Amino acid sequence: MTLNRRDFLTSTLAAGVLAACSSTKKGNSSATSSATTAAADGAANVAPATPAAAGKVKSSPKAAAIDKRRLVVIEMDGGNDGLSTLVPYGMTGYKDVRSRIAIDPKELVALNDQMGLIKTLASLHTRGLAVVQGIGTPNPDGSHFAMMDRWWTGDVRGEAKLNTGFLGRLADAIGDPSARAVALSIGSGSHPALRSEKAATLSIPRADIGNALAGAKADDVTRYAFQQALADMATEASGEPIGLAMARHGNRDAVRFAKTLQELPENQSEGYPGGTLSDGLQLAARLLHADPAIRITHVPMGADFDTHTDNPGRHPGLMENLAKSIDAFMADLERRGIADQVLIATTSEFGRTVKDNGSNGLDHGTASCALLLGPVKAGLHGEHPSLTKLDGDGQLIATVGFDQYYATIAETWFGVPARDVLPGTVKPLPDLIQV
Amino acid sequence: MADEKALIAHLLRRTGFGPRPGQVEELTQGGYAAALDKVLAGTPLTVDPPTLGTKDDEAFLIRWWLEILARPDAGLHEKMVWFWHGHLTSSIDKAEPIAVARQHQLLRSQALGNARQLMQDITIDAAMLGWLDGKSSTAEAPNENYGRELMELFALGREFNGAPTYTPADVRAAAYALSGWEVDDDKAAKVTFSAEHGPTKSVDFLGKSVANAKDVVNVVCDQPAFAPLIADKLYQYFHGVRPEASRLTSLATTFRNGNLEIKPLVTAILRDPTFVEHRMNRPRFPIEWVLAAHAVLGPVKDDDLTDILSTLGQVPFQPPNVAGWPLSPRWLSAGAAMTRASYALDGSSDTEVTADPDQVAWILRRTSLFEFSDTTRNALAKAAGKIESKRDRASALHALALSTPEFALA
Repeated sequence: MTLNRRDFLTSTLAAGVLAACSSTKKGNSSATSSATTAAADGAANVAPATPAAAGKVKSSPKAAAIDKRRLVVIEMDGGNDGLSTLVPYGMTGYKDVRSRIAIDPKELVALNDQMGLIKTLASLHTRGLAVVQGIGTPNPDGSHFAMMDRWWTGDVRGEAKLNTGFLGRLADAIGDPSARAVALSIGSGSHPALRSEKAATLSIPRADIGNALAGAKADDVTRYAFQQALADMATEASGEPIGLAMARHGNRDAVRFAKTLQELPENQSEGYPGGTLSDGLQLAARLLHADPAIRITHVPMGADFDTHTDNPGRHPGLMENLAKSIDAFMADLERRGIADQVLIATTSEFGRTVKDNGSNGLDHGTASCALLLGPVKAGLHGEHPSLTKLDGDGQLIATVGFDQYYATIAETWFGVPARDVLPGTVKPLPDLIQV
Repeated sequence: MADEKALIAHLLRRTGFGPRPGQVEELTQGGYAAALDKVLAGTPLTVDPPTLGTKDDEAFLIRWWLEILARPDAGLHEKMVWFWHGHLTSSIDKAEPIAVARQHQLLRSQALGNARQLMQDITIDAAMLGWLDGKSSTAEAPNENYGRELMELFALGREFNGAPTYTPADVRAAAYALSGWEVDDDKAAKVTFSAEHGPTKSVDFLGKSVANAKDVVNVVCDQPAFAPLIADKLYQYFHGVRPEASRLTSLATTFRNGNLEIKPLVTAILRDPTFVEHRMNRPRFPIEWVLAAHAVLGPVKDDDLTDILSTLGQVPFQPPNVAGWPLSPRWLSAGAAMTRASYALDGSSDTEVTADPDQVAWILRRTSLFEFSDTTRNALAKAAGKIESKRDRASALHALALSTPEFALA
């Protein structure tokens, strides 16, 4: 019997689970910032400075054929401050709303006379970074968990209550149902964003965990018998209680995927800065290289984006780790000859408050920005939210629904109609992805 | 009705961190009812406080608690300390070790004590003030982090009876009234209240007037959503499923009428007749799996446990976020299954060997698997038949029993 994942999710067990949340918002980021912090003593005192001129931008690679395309999603869990990522340094109101923590234009790479990228992202700019501005939802929620759930399930208003994840549905739409894995999350437990109905979607914390499960030769009697028995125990039987069936299903996927892990190509550590994201992307590169059936990889950054305190001291380092990790990852993909297959896209459940909270920190906000690399049109997309016309809670008003962002990935990159993977009628963003 | 041993094994899995070999059999004579009485009558472990001030306090503290959790007499009280650590959680990655150690003592002292007192104490606890930014919150510039999570996760939930439990204005009011608490990290994380930075006026919060942290917590604990939230989460922790609506209402009423004392609530949840039916319906959390495996394999040294728990995603004092560790099917994922099987194989090289002619029955007993599928039993028997060396066969059977889908369940 093949277990239908929808049965799992509507089972007694699933009904009893607490709100699933697998992200890491706290943790030691290994990132260190070489960037100086923002001018904390008030933007009014900052002499008009010119941001660094934007460097040359490489032309983006030509996209691979549609059935070879892959997606790598980097989740900046915790709520990334869009206004410290793509800084609206020249926009009306910026110096008022961020009076205590406005970023010195000298710390930016200017994209135009209004907008600049934080300097620690400069290397990504050179790689042809596309930035979607004002991304969010029409009815924001201040809860990490409610908003992560919306992003994971692809439910922009939080009203559709979907049983599968957006990436899981994409995997169902584009993946080979017999593949060992179509979508992978780098981490320790199955991820809600990857919940699917047909396609195998797994989580893998490390490359070496499959060693005991496959590859023993018959003359290694004990190990061979152990592996045979594991495979026997992973054979699903009908009519088992749901808990046992789910455990057995996990064992089955483990036995199957262990073979892929054992055949992974070599690690290429060159240029990777270290940290959860860096380790995750290194593993992702090997997995994408190893098995063409893997179409989607989800990599949680596992850094502390929840900057309720000291945003100026923490955020540039987070961006630096992000940029160095992606930079090394893209070089890694190039050496493996698969760079043209990969679209990199970031997510984060929300941005942060427009005004700081007095501890140089920022509380939970609404709209933020999303970053894309690969075959994309470099530069700004969408419209930046106003800094003077805010919502009733003093928060940014999103200009782009995150479902539009998802729709663009589905339709333009994978050729999957948005209506097949997202609730409602959603239009992709024009000219963002170049195929 | 399942075998009495299966029921007792279920009781021990849910209320402890084993079972260890033989533990179920020891309790079988009096039957399930007597075993339950014994679990409920268990006393807290006597624990020496950790000695901090070494080079690596974080690792030391993690190991210190793991050793306590692995004690054969760790029972219901310890299981409740773990519950509160996941519910009112703080991470050593952000809070100071000395503060986290003190928070741990707080959870230990109130694990089966009074929920209102626990909520009051945790609100001005040094580790919590560090973890959720209360210590940098002033009335002039209130930080919303703790107040929001107090309502959303710790006490009320987002909705109750279909209506939101709080508004953005309540989040702001809570932040203001909770402000002014400071932690002196140079003085062993001493907590003090600064009138200068604290609230100077009363504010409206959840329809009541509050002037300080104590008021906020009392108002929160008096909300109709509080008792059901705690009762619901505790029921799920022990039963693996949510309670029926009517059952939840009666548990919450018991809890509220009992002055929010925790022990009577836990007793009612475990004495619920459905408890024994809810067997093997949730995964073992990694901490439960690892400790149950070592109850069979024997103790490990040093950092080994931290390493495996880190890969599986559940290191004590390092919750992934403020929601703690979800009770969800995620712990049964393929990645977890691989990690467990590899660990079980590595750890089974030097196990007990038996003269029992039925080696499969022996290993199933030894791992307290008193209900198992034919698939599992047959796979074990087939493997045992292939391995001639008694030593190797015992190792393989240990590794396999710990890798069964049955052993992955609580």
